[in-house]
Amino acid sequence: MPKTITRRDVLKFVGGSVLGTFLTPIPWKLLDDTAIWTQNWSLTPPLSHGPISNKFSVCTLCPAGCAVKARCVAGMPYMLSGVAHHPLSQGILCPRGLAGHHLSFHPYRLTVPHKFFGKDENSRLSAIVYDKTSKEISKHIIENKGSVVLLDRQPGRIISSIYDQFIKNIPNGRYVTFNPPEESTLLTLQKITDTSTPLGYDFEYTKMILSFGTPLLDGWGTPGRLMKIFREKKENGIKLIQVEHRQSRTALQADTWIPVQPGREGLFALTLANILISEKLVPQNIIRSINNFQAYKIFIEQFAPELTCEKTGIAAGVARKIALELIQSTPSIACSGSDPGGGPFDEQTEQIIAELNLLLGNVGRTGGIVAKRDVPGYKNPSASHTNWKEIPDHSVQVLIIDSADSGYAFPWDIIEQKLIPTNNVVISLSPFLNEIAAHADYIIPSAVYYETQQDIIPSSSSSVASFSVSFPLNPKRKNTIDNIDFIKNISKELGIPASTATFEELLKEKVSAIYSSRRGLIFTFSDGQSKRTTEIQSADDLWKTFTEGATWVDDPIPQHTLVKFSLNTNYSHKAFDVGQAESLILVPYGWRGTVTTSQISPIMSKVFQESELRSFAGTVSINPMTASKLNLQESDTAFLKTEKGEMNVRIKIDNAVRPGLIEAAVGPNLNGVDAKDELQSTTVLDLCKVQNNGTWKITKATLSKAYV
Amino acid sequence: MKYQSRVIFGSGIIFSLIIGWFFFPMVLFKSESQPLQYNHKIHTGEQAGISCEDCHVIDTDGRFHGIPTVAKCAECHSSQLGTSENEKILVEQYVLPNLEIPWRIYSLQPDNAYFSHVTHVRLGQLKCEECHGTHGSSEQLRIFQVNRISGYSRDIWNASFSGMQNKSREGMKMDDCIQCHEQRGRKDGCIACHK
Repeated sequence: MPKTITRRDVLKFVGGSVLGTFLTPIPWKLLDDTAIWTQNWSLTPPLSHGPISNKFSVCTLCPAGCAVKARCVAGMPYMLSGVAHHPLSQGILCPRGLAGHHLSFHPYRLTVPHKFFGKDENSRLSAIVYDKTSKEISKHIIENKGSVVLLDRQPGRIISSIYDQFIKNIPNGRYVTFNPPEESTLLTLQKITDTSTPLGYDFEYTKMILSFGTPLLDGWGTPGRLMKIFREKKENGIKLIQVEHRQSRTALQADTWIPVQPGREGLFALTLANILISEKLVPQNIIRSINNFQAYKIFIEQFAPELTCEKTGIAAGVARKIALELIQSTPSIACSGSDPGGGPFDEQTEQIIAELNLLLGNVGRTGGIVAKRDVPGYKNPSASHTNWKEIPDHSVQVLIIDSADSGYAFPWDIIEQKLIPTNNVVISLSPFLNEIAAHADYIIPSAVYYETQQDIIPSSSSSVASFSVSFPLNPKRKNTIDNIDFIKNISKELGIPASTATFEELLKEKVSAIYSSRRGLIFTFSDGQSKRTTEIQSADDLWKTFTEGATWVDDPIPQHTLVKFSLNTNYSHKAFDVGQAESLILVPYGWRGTVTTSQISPIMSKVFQESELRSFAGTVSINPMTASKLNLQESDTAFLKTEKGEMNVRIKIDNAVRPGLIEAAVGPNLNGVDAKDELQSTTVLDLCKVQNNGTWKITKATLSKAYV
Repeated sequence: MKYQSRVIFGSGIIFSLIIGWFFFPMVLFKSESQPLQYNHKIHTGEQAGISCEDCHVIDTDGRFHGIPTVAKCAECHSSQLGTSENEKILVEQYVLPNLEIPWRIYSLQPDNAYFSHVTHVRLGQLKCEECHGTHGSSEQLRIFQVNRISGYSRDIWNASFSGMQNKSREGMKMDDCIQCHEQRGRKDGCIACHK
């Protein structure tokens, strides 16, 4: 008699099935495949598959002009590396340059024009139609009652001359530049000596560099060039003295670190000048060149090391030793080049450092600061343009900001203090919703790095002129607007004349000018060889060489020492008073390119965060004594407050920090997906007080434990 | 009674085993045909005498070209060389309009794994057959099976599905890479493959 199936039988069968399942691949394979599936989420950009090829270009993240070799799959770059033996970059790319191709896919990337509706904290960012936008912007320019300013933070490019031409046709229009901080000493020297000849550092032949906070070994200038020079220091005998208030990476690697009090770098330079003169270390030929030597000799007596050592924090004996070394190790270079997060020095400090070079006889000699020629077809950008600092406060009604980002911090306060308080209009041409664009009314996104052609004239530190062209590696996004096209559209709306030439035609004109000059060498990336420009058959051939990856480097020119110059005798001790000893001082710092959100790949900032290779934005370092006084411990959350605002920070305790200082990392940021919220939150730069002279190196602050 | 209980329990186990080992793979993997058939044997045999590296080129600078582009096929097949259906498809649908053939690639590694052919073939002295078996002398292309969850080829995990290798070349997962490297005394970190 057949047995009926009972509930117990079903349970037994199910039990057997469950047990049996574990003897099959089902659970294990599902687990495995699900794990693999999580690696393929939609946020991960898919890679193309196709033929592998190599393309050459030039990095445009900063004006260093580093040559790039891009390994591409199906035409898309997936790995960047340097080009061996390149005369400027020496085969090296900095970490952010290595990840430059990621920036096309940056979460803050904008690919259509946007407008902020409203100017308060409830402002709303919306995509807008470009045609309508250009009409609106033109209307603002026509109705402007203040001035229209176009701010270019990387002057000297082809687009810079187009800006200049455009703005000249607008009533009350001004083309304004913001001098690259890396060129500050050179530009100050040009001003002092009243010359328009471009200057450069001849690091290759120098014996000693006296650096005032210049991050020479941490991404400054063309990093490959400096790495090569210091790698070969046994052969070339170069020495580095770093005068800096913090133990930066350059200070750590320098032969001597002079831990000067912050804000007293200029006072220390004056102390050195005093020693050079009082101990008769200045060569007679230099003394004869100084118009006002007797007056300067009397003036500088007040800066004797014994009188300044308390303020500078540097013992008189140490200062004397440095001065002696400077004279013994000629040719030398004294340079300033501010910290990318900490901002520039004030004009007075810049001038003192520049004058130190004059006293040492460093200007116009091989191994010192040398004269160089302009790139054929270009004019030295610094000679004639208005500097941002010269614009009267609260005078700008319409401001157009070019997309170039020098990689240095640029607090919004610097811009805000020049704007008319109400009814101002700011137009950013940035391809990213970065710190500056987040304050604009209109954002007209240009093409990003490696999506468009760009001319590069690395002028910052090189001893000779050079020229490269960056050719696209990634396809250009459909709705992005090239800066040249934006200017043409606005010109059309305003009815003012504009050049009809395409950017490529303008580039070809420059290449043709180089060809006609018959000067210099052409280095080709594919074979790593250099040949004379005269060996190229025609301007078209030279253009073709550039399209395949090339850099033109000028020949050095004969150097002539300066005939006559005067030194400033108007400095005073009072100018170096930075505050009471008992108050805490906030000093921001950063690493080039990581202090803005739009220059660093989000993948790289994750590496920073996990490895702690660099302190993250929102981290402050303090001395153990300061920490003990404030009852703070490592990794505590603390409350940082200045007259500008307040924010929560993470505490890092570091013996290398001076007691009383709060060293705050300006970047890198997390670069998360929620861009608007992140950009609207307070950053260290927002807490820094921008002085009238455009500096924000020192701000009084308080720090207390946050009980969260 | 006790015997009957064991039979029911055992039936449950057998049921799962059949589902897990027979039907589960059928559900998990989707079968896809290649766009056209290709006979490696004809090309690499005496008739044409082509070597693996003639089509799967490793450049002098170390770049591996993988599956050849249609331009490579067109070097010989610019017009129909025979009357077969596959030859007709090749010439009419791909060579003449200059379109790449969308081959399904059996051994395509995930994007997060970097594999250098030149390192393995030149420095490691591995023969193509050690990883790709007899594929180079096959007369027709197998059905391509793709994992519905992970999206990867079945060949990556292991064609046999048990995960147990019958031959050294079976399976191209990380464990297989590690095993092969260990056998050859190679000690590499994560970054060697996951750059």
